[in-house]
Amino acid sequence: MRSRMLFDLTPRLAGIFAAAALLAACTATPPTDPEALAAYEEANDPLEPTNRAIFDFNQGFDRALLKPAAEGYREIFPDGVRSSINNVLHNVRSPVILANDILQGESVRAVETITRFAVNTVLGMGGLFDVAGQYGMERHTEDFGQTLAVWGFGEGFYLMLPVFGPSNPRDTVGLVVDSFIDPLGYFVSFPVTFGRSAVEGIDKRSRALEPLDEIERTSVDFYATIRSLYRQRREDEIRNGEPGGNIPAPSISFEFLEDEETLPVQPAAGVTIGENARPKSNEVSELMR
Amino acid sequence: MQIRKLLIVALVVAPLTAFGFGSVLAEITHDGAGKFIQGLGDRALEAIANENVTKEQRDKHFREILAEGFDVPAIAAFCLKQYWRKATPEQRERYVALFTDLIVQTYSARLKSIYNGETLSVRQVVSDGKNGAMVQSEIRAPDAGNSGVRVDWRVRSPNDNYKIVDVLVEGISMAITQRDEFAAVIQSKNGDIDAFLDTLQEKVIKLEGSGA
Repeated sequence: MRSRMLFDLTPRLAGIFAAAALLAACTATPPTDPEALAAYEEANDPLEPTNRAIFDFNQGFDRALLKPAAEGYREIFPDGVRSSINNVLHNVRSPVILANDILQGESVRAVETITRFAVNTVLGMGGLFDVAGQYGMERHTEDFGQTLAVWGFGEGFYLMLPVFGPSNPRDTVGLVVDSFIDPLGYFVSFPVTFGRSAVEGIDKRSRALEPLDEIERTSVDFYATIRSLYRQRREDEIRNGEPGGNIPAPSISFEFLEDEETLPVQPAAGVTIGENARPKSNEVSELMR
Repeated sequence: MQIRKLLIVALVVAPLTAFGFGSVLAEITHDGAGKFIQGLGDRALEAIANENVTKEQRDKHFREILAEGFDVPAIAAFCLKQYWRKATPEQRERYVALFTDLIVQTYSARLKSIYNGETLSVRQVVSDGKNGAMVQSEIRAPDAGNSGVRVDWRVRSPNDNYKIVDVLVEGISMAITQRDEFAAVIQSKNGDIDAFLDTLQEKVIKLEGSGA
C-alpha cells in the first residue's frame, strides 16, 4: 500500500512544477510587426521568458549535479558495464513501451517488445545483455506523449520543465501517465523508482556529454537550438523514424531552387512551376554570382 | 501470338505508364546520388580521421568539401527565411560569408570531437519526385554493435552536379535547427538584420579563435 501511494512521485512533481510555472508565467506580448509575428508564432513559445528562466535553472542544475555525476559515471564504469546498465534500464521499461505499442495499434512492434523482453530477460540474464538486438531485433522506445500524438493530439506550446527539461503539455501528460502505467511502481518502494529515474538520467546524460558541449559552444542561442532539436526529435520519434512526409518545411522552402534548377526539363515531368518561383530564383542566381 | 503481344505490352508499357517515364530516368540519377554521398562521406571522414593536421588545415579542408558538395548559398537563404527577402544585397553578401564561416567552425569541430573511427554506408536513395532525392545512410562506429546513427542527405542535381541542401541526423534537420535558432536571435534584435549579423560575426570570431 505504502509503495503504491508513493510510487514514482517525480513525474507528478514535474506536473506540479509545470502548473506553477504556468501560473507564474509572465507571457511575452506578441509583436505587431508581420515578420516578427510570424517568427513569434512559429516559435510557439508564449511562455518564453519563464521557460528561459527555468532553462537557466536547469543549466545550473546540470553544471552542479547532473554533468559531474555523468562524468563520474563514465570514469568509474567501463564501457561494457555501462552498456549493461543501459540494457537493464531499457528492459525494465518494456511494460510501458508495450502498453504504448498496443495503444498506438503497432502490433508488429508490440510483438517485438514482448519477444525482446522474454529473450533478454532469460538469455540476457535479466536484461544485462541485449541478445535479441544481436539477432537483429533492434530496440525501440515508446511513451504516452507519442501515443497522444498518434491519437491526434497536438503538442501545444513549448514548455521547459524544471530538471526534466524540454517538453510541452502533451508530453508532460505523457510523462505522468507513463508513471501510472509502469508496473514497477506498484511492486517496489518510492526510493527504488526514484533511484531508477536518477540512474536513467545519469545514463542518458553520460551519452550526450560531448555532443551537448559542442552544441552549446557553437550555438548563438542555445535555448532556441534546444527548442528546435527537441521538437524535431519528438516528431521523428512519433513517426518511429520513418522518413517524414510531414516535415513540409525543407521541401517547400527549397522549392524555389528546385524550380530554378529544373526549369529546362520541367515540362516533361509535368510539374507546375509556382507563380512566385521566378523572382525568388532570381534572388538566388543573383547571389550565386 | 496474341498472348505474347499482351505480355510485351504488360511488361514494357505498363511499368512506364505506372511510374512515368521520368522516374525510369530518375532511377539512374539516384544511383549517382548515392555514389556522390558515399564518395563525399568517405573523403570527409578520412579528413577528420587524420590526426596529423592543425585546426587551420582541417578547417580549410572542410571548407573545400563544403563548397564542393553543398549548395551553401541556398541553405543560407533558407535559414534566414522571411528576412532573406527583406535583406539588402550587401546584407546578403555579408550574411552568406558569415554563414559559411559559422558552418565550417561548427561542423569541423563537432565532427572531430565525436569522431571515433566511424564509416558511412548508403542504404537507400528515395526520389522526391523531381530532380532531388533523399540519400539515406548510416554512420557506424567499428565497436558500436547494432547502434548506428541514421543520417539522411537531401540532394539536388542541377545538370547532374549534385549538391546537398540539408542533412538530417536521426530525423533532425540541420537546416531547420539553424533556421529556428537564427529566427530567435533576429527576434531578440527586434528584426534588425545588421544587429543579427554583428552577433553572428562575434560568434564566428570567437569560434575561430578557439583551439578546438
